[in-house]
Amino acid sequence: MTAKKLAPDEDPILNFLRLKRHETPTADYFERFIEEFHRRRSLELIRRPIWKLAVDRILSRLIDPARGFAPSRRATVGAALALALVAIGFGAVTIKPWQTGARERLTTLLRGGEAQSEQLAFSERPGVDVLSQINKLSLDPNLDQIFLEESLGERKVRASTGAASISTLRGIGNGTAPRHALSAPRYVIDVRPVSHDSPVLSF
Amino acid sequence: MDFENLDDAGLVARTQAGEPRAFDELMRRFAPRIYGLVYNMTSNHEDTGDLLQEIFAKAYRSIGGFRGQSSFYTWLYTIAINITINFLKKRNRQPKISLNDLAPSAFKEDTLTELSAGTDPVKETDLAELQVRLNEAMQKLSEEHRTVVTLFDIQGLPHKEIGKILGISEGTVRSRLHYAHKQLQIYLREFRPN
Repeated sequence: MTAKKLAPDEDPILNFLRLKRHETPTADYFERFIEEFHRRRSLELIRRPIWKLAVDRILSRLIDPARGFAPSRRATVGAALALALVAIGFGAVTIKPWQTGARERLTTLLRGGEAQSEQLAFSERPGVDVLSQINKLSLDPNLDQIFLEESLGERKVRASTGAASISTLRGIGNGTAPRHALSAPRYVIDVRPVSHDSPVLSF
Repeated sequence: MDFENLDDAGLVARTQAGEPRAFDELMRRFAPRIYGLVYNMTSNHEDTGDLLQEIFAKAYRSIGGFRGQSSFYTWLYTIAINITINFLKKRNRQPKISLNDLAPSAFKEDTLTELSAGTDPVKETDLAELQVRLNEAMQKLSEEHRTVVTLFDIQGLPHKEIGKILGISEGTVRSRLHYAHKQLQIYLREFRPN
């Protein structure tokens, strides 16, 4: 540290301010200060739970008290990996085959209007678990797309297939025959891809 | 191990390696300067003692994350200023303390007389009164202005270093100083020569 030399100043007030740098206690005070510092540290170690000390230690690595939140690259990568592992562990991130490419295929379906047919597979009703039914549908190799449609609080699942294999849908739902009515051409705004549904949480 | 011969960076490395005695040496080196900084911002010895403990405790807990991007003293000063300004903001939210409660200056009057020899207006004035008035005037400044006055006029740090510590440009440091000096001259005009 480079301290400026104490020199007379034109303004006596500023000159006098400089004299305040001598306003420090004696060396004894600072020796006692260090003893007190160690005493407080020991007390802190005894009183604080171990988990709090551990959290403090981690935070002190991530947050520079002089600059705020400034984690090192290593800490950032480590934290991101840890978060990803935790998320996967808790099932917050699930990747299902029927979710992939739904948006692109929907576009093709609406634009092309090819020889595909779209069927109402089932509606949500008591005793029918929509998600488990979607899982069942996703295993059907004949089905090309599966859409989850939500309007006025009611959820419906539609499935489309190039070969209109209606039979594959039979029996899905509450055990009764499904509604096979052919639907009218749909618009993008009316249909929500399954991939836009909230993630499945399983603990 | 003789820590006295090690430089600051060496002491930091030793502390990071788990030798707390190296941190003791850092405290010996920097506590008086940090004390001066905090005292001149709070004008209260008791608060200064507590804040000094808090500052070094924070530095000790965080030293593992100190990566040497700045010098240790710049880092420590920044911690000290952040903690002190937080404290002052809390104190300002509480019922106003009377300026009469501010501590009188720590040094003895004969020391002051010796140090102030040659400044005529001071000789003619009650020194104790001047000390109190100086502290009062400092407390009237905003925290930002008080900080630059403390670092520049009292602690003697150059503009560049102050800019680094506060994370502001040199120009801002100069501008704050200019304004703060004007304010102090107004508050203490009776002590200035005609």
